[in-house]
Amino acid sequence: MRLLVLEGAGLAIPDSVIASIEPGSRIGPGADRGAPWLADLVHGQKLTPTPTSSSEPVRRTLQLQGGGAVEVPATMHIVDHVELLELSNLLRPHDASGAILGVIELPEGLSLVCDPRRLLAQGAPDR
Amino acid sequence: MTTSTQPGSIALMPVALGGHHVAVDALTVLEILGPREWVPIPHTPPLLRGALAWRGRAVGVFDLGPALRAPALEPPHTRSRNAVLRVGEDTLVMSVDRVLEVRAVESHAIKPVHATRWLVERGMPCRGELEFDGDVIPVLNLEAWASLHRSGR
Repeated sequence: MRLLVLEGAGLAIPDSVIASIEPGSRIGPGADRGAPWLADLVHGQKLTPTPTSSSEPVRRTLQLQGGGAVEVPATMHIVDHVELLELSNLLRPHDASGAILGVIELPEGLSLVCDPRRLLAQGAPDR
Repeated sequence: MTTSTQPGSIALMPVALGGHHVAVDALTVLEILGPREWVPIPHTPPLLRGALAWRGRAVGVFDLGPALRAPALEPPHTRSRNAVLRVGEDTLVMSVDRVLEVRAVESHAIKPVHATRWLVERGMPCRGELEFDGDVIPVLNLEAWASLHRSGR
């Protein structure tokens, strides 16, 4: 499995669901409001990062296969041939969207693997 | 883990968490792990906090801390001991401070919940309670907890 790991977010996305990676919106005063922040969608609450300067490019936009887009941290890397640890039955049905696909073990720690398209289908939290 | 018991007796494994002791059926214990890394999973009930990696699967991390009014587990590290438990057809990991020696007790020594009713009222079903080293400790009913959990979806 090939995954895009979003550094510092504890999240990874299957490479197969990503159509393209584009510059994201800038945050801060007067910033435009782009696609939903992925961590907000995953956790169902607003976790959007606080800007450290008005023009800091901390985001990128992932255009998704089949339409839709999410914003993610700008720092990311690809991992190949990583084993997806499936959620046990007790955990799985609590994710109503089915967007949490499992967990991966990386040198930097455990990360959730999610499918942003399913999160978008479920709807964004209040922004 | 293998535990032999006499007819009419039950093997219990006491664990310590936040100054409290609780007991679980020792026959459900698959393995005791040291500290591990875990990851929170959103939209889980309070006692089921997230997952850790165990034998190629992501198994649920069960945190009794809030029910015992002990500090909740904080990512990324578990407490110092993790009991991997078979619950029905599933597996979960109960993260605790210490695991004590398994002991066989007579079934009739497990009394209906009375002194430890507060734990049931905080959402943790118990099979009963037991005198343990001068204290009365609850015997958890994780099967019932899992059933509640599943039916509550």
